[in-house]
Amino acid sequence: MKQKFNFYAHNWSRLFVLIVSIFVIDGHFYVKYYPQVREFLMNIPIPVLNCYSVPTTLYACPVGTFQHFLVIGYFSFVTFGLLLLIGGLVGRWTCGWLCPFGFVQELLHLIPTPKFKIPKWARYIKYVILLVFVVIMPLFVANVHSAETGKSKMVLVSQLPEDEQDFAQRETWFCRLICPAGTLGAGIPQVLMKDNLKDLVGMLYWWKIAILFIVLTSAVFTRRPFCTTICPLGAFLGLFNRFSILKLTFIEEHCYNCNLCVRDCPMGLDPRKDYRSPECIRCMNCVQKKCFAIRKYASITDEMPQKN
Amino acid sequence: MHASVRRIIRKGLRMKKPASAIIKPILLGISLIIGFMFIFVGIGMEEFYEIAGNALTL
Repeated sequence: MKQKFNFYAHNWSRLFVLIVSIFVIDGHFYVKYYPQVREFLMNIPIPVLNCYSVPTTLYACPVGTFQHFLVIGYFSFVTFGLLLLIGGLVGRWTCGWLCPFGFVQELLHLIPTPKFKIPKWARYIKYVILLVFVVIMPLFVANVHSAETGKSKMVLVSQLPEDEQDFAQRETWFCRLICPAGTLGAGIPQVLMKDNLKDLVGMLYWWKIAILFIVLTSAVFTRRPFCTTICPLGAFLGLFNRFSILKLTFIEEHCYNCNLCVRDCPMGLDPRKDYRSPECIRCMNCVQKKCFAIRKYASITDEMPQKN
Repeated sequence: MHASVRRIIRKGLRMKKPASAIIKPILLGISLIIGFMFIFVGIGMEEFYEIAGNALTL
């Protein structure tokens, strides 16, 4: 059988939800004249990668919010609680059904070119990024601006003189150095729209453009490269996949090895083996197939409820 | 120890279920309870104003 990626076959509901989610998340247009509505909605972090610097966005990004609170010396209870709740309920489902940046990568993958698999070891990079750039660096690394050279450099807060430590400028390092969703949605449009920002374009801006270019280019050749290797939100929510209420299961007797589920998995997994993998984004592409070997169910325990 | 508690423990020890079948619902319960608790704690601490302030100034 020809292993051609047939992304939305039998799963139009996901395509519909993804399109609607873009208009709901980046819906500044229809609340333009109601700033108080935007102010209220901006309080709510939603479990998708959605930079709050995007001019059209209505909600807060959980990764950015979490880092921001660490930077100012607090712990974001709402963001962490929300992620625990969403993870416990549906695992990584929001990555597959709501995330606009994941959707962009999937659309790019539809471009007909030779396709490649991401090596398994690369999946672990995102856990390192989650730990280093989202948790450790916002706590311990400051950005020090030198008046003499006019350049900024990264310094451990503990290395600064004691009287300067309280005022050290800690940063949301993941957003600043890596996040390509922020570059695509906020960095590029902001620089294009605002003339005063054009003067601020420097090495960091081009560094982030390079990351975005690499991510988007590799999305053409591999399946969801950012979600597989970099996304700290996906890394966190993926930890819940093994015990979340929404579960997938594989019934071997129903499988006749048609490989349709493998062909249509946007994460490049084999759903027959990896149905509880932290990489699974619960897109349900594999559930829609005629063999019914992969099934979804909601249960607190591992056992699938029997239908009467 | 109360007899009923002892009965529950003895029953638990006799179970043939794998350890994961017991641990997973416990983890799920912990994540849901702590999740709800943290959201209410955050709301109680008026954390939302900080999120909004951060979001609107960036």
